[in-house]
Amino acid sequence: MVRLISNGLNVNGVFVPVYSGTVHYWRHERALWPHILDQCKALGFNMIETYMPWGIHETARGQLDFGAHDRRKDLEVFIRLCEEKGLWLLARPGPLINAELTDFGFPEWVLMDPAVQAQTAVGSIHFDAAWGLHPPHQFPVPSYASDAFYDYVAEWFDVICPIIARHLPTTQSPSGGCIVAVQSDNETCYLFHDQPYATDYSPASLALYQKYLIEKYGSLSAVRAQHAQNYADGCVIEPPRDCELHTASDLPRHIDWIAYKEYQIIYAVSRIAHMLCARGIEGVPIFHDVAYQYRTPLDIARMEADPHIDWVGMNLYRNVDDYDGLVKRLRFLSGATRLPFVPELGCGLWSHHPLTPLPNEQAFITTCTLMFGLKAFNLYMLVERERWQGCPVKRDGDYREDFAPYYRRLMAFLHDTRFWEFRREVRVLVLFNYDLGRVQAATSTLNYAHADLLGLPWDLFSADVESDRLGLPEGSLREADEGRGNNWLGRVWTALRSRGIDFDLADTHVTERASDLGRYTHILVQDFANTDATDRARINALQRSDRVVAWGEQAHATISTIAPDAFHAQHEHLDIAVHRTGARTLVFASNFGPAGIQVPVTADGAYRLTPLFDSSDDVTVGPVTFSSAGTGLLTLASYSVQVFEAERLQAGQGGAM
Amino acid sequence: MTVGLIDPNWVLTDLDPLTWRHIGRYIEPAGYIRASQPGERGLYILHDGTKVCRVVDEHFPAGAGLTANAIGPVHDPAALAHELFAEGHWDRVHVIDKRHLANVARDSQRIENRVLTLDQYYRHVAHLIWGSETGYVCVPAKPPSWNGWTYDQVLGYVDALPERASVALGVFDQSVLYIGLVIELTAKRITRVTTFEALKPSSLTLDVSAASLNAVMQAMTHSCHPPAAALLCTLPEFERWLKADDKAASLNAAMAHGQAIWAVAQPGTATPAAY
Repeated sequence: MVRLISNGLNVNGVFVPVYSGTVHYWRHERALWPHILDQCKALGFNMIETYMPWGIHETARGQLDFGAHDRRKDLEVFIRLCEEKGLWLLARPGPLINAELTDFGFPEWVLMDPAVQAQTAVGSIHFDAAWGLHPPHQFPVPSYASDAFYDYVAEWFDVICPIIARHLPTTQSPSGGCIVAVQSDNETCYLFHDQPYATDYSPASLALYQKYLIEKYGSLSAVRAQHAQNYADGCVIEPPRDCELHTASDLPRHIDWIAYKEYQIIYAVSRIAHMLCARGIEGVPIFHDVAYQYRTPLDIARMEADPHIDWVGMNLYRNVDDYDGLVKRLRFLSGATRLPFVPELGCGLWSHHPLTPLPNEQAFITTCTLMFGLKAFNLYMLVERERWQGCPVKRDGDYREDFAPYYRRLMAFLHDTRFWEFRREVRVLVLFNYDLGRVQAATSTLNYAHADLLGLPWDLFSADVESDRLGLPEGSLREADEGRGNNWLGRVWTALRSRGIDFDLADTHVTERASDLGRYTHILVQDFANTDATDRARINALQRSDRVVAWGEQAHATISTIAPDAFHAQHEHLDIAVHRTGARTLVFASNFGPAGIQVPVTADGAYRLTPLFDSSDDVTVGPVTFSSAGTGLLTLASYSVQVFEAERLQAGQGGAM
Repeated sequence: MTVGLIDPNWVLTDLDPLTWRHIGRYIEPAGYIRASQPGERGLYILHDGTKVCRVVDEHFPAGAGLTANAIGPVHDPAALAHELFAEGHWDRVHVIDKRHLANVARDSQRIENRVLTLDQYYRHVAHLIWGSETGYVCVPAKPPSWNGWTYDQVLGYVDALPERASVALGVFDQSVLYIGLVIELTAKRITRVTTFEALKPSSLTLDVSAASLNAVMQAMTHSCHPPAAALLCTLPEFERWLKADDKAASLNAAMAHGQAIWAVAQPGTATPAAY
């Protein structure tokens, strides 16, 4: 039995941290498997992850190859090898896997079945392309509303699930069973064309939309009333195919389509998870990886609340130029999910990307994820392979000398400190308004394939709509635009940071199940007149004698009453985070600027900070002493993170600065 | 129709991360399709055949620029683009018919286009976008090629290669290998892409020299399809060559200064001759 806990997995009563890296067995010579796995272990990894690609194993309909023709495809031998070597395994059987494979691992005969194909708003099929040279062939995207699609998936699962099930820790496998979690689909999001009016207008999807609406409102007449449309009995309810917002009465029809697009993703991931369970994948967490989105059409809180989905993580491919994007996503995972997890933490890069990270960039980004609360990760890829470069292990199993040393040091640090026992100290949770994001999405336009190749300004992709025309408070649409730093979220972010207060993020769909809300003393909420009443009531119910819930502009007054964190500083390129367990304290400091810095830091007393880890190199500096006045000086190289163990000094021990 | 350059199942292995970091910017199809160039300040007018739907003005700050009302109905997109460009505020004026982009999406995403290779597909998309006289009008017009390089030139070069061939490019930033790329072609189609890392040309330190060129060619002979051409040059010369109007003259001048060296196989010969 494998249970999900807040900092890892409990496997038959034994704690297992989720520090994993990806190895694609079918892309390596079978004779090299033992060497490759030994090299992963020698770096400090006790867990690996692999896709199990449908299209690679089922080469023609009904013709399956699990090693009989191509020895690299002998999945069961690979799993047994993991078990022999004491490696846990995360299994990702699809059906969608990407993995830079041609057709994303789908068999061609599935994609070419018209009953499977998604449709765009302009009535065409939906080709996955316009992503550079990857995948190297455009393919028709399947509709996740199509029953025909699920029928094909069932055939694949009938084959792959028994193999996985034989290796769950719950089974009486002679080698114990190494598969500790299984993923349901992969980055389900309309193949990244996730704008509301891009796709899926296939007949199957429109039928599911109709069912969704009837379930939501109870009857067709109620839908008519909500949409201010005179839908005839037996008709197909036509969704908007572009922003057609003219008056307030147009809004519900658009919002319903957007909410349906969210629903379809959860429906798909849940249905696939259920299909896995029905084929013996039980007693281990079923998880999903969101590509990068935390707003519509991805509703992570509601996905994690689905009874068939235990755990939702978010993939992360960022470089130093998008530090803010990285921090925002980590704050979100920390604030909104049960176990902050990045199922694909960029380690190297796919081969069409314009900028492969350098070793120091990769080290900085990876260490930052831990700084901001990541508790579980899978390095994608730990071992290089076809169509991927820049990993610590090359495809022949040898180490890439520029990249491997950091990961060896990192794994040693995580295990030596028992990092999984620490928890980032955060008192403030900021909730952005999910409903506001839907309204912004409703104004989206130009959702046509290949418009994104034209280098057009972002503003051209939203219709010229005024809030008051939609019956919304003035400025609502500007407020919804996350790209504007001067909206509520931007101002709260700036205020918290300038006051030296670390914080987490979530949205107004957050629930107690997904997030441990008990740790927050202050919850700040982005207000919006159209906030769902149930969500508003649930959030207001979180107010307690020792917890403040502040909506909208009240948040700013509230922030001024919150004391700064135990360690804080004022520098445009310095962030600090404190992690604690029992009596032990770790202090992370990141310099996210292009130049080295020396910054005075304020603490809540006298400390000695002993360096434990430096993202950029072996630790070479000595301890830093904070005076009894709580002041100390930190020195950081550009784009680097230092981790210190903090020891509070007694009176008289504090040195002068 | 040509066979298309990119094999749908091409193999990309042993990709030295530095090489890939440096060539990444050249393999974004959008860079070859779009009209707007990096750093430009444009005026974008999106219309639906008559009515202006949206205006984005990158010259004037938000709220102070042109508005849809100020422009009025769009009867002649080209005349409108010329008239506005003549005002001198913008590097480029774009007048885009929304219906045209919808048609591009519809026409490109036909199942018949599944048979196209990816380069043919993007080529087709570009043709659909720019093949209309009124769908997407911009002044100045979109450059006809990227720095003088055209798809037809590339096809012509590939067409002249033997059935099985490999070509290599080595670019050096001072003494550091900046790009070390090898492309293998089978039946005029790219079937394998790799880097000098896969060649493992012994422990020789490569540079822009005849010895290095020979080492690369020999390694290609052992590890790849027969070498058809290899070019080694310095980074400044590489960048000059990319942008030069006369590509051959640019390389010849670089060679004369010891900044480039190359070898090209003569038809019917197994071993390329160094130049």
